Amino acid sequence: MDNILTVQSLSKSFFKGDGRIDVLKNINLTVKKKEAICITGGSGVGKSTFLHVIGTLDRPSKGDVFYYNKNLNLATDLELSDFRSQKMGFIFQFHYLLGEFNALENIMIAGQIGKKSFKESKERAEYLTELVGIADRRKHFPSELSGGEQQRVAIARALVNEPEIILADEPTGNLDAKNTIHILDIFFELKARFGITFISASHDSVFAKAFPKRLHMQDGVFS
Amino acid sequence: MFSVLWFKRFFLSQHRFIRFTPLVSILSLILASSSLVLAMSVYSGYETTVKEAIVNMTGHLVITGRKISTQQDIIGKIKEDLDPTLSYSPFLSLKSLLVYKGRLSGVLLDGIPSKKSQHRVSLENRLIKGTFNLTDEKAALIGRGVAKKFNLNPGDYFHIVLPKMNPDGSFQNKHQQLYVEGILDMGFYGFNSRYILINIKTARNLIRHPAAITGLRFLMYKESQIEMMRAKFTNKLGSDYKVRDWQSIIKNVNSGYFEAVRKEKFLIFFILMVLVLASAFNVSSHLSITVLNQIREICILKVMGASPFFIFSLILTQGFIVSFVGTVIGMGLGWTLSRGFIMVQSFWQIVPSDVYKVNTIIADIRFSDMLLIFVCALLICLISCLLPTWRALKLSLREGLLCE
Repeated sequence: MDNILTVQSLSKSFFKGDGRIDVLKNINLTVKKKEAICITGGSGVGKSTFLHVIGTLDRPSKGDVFYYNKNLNLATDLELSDFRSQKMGFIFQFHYLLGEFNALENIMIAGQIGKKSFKESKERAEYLTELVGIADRRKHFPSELSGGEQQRVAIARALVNEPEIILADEPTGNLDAKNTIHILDIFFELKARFGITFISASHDSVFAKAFPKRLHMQDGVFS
Repeated sequence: MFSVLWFKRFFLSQHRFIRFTPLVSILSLILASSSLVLAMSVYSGYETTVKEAIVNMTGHLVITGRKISTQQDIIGKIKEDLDPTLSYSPFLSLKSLLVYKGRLSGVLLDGIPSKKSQHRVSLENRLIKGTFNLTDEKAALIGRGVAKKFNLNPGDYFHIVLPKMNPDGSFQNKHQQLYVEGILDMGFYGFNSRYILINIKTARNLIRHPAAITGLRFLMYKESQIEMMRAKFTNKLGSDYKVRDWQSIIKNVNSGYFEAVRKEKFLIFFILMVLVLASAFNVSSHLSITVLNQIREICILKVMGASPFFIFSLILTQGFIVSFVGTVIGMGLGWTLSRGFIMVQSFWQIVPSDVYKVNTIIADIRFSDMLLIFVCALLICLISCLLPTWRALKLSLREGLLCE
């Protein structure tokens, strides 16, 4: 299998006042296409920062991230925006839906950012809402949806541009056990159907156990 | 399209206090742009009034000889340049005294052909009393200022005295009795208080020269031709004749005053633009609050891969909508106020004619003025939107997503 993502000597530090906090320390990782990886570890070990850096939301302090042979560290902000809209989908613990738009519009917006036409975005959004089981909640605003439903909208939004990689940061962190299992079912059905590469971060052991590959992060490195 | 939807959703969903900020921006822009439109329309109206008065009286171009000449003299020299887009008529101007019931005053007799000519058509519209008919050689059309000064009405007889200096230095006066055929509002204070229009034959009889003219007045169908024709005539006629266009006639009538008014218009424009500038600060601060309120949403869009251009257009559209709505409503209000000004001016004469040298002032809403106001106001507002937009572009994704 091809290496879709390659992380080389990745470090990330934050500066606060005179102090420096090294969050990620010289990480190396290769992710194969269609692989499903779950990064586990306690709070504050650097899981989210790692996802942010490999998801091009933040730049590394040192090291490189490759998408196949393309060094993402050398790409401009504009190229990275384009890359995120076309190749990556993001799912967060807090869903990050736009409260002023209904479920369908939230999904369509991502389609339009990915340069899909209004019609294409709408058709794709309608299809995905059916796929994740919220077709009857399309016109509902996030505040009118349960946590599980909001997360399913976020999943549909992440899939609207047919990404190759989905990065999920604590996707079930706010969900109960029943919804966690439901989300897991959706994840693996999508993986099987679309051949998507999943990289997830979670401290939920039930969620993590479902993944064939688990990496434990401690103090900014994989142990 | 999405940017407009975004504005609508956030505008409606925002807290009432925050929703108030774009309304304040819109209100201040309405006041600024309506004041601009009103001021510009009054100044433009003034320019138009003066221009119309000058063109009605003197035409677009005037050729005057250094000494008395004849129509054949002038036409003979410029006939190659005459074409059907030009119309001209001769005139003979004589400085004289008007005497009526023991009172006298200096006036300018303007002898014009009694038959219809192009510029006479415009003058006919300026008749306010009596009839416009100079076929009788004793008939005279007087300016409303002259009529008011001497309390003259149609049918009243008066005398004009034409002083003539003999070669030995003595004066010989030529008298002529005329009667008021009609009273004209020549539009311009300087004309109304001095001009008396008579049949050119009467004027010629007064100086005993059957073909004398002071010069020719030209009307042109295309105003763009004026400068070109002026240059051609000047070239053909040489130094014995003076060729002036209506603008140089204005300068001649009261150079400093009209220049001052023209400069005043520009000055007022820039002064009122300061109001627009102040409104632009409102728009900018509104947009800054908007960006602050939408940090999380903007960052979500950036996470989804929204390009800087997408974010830029999203924020700028919000500023543009506020600026556009404010400017357009303001211009509409300005237009309405201008119409109101015309009504108020016609009843109460709030702009005194003796100060501004014209009898009536209209509010002329010119497309060019409106376009200038629209473009300048929008441009200033959009420039003021750049800083908040730039801040939105520079938002840190990490910090933005943590912003709850």
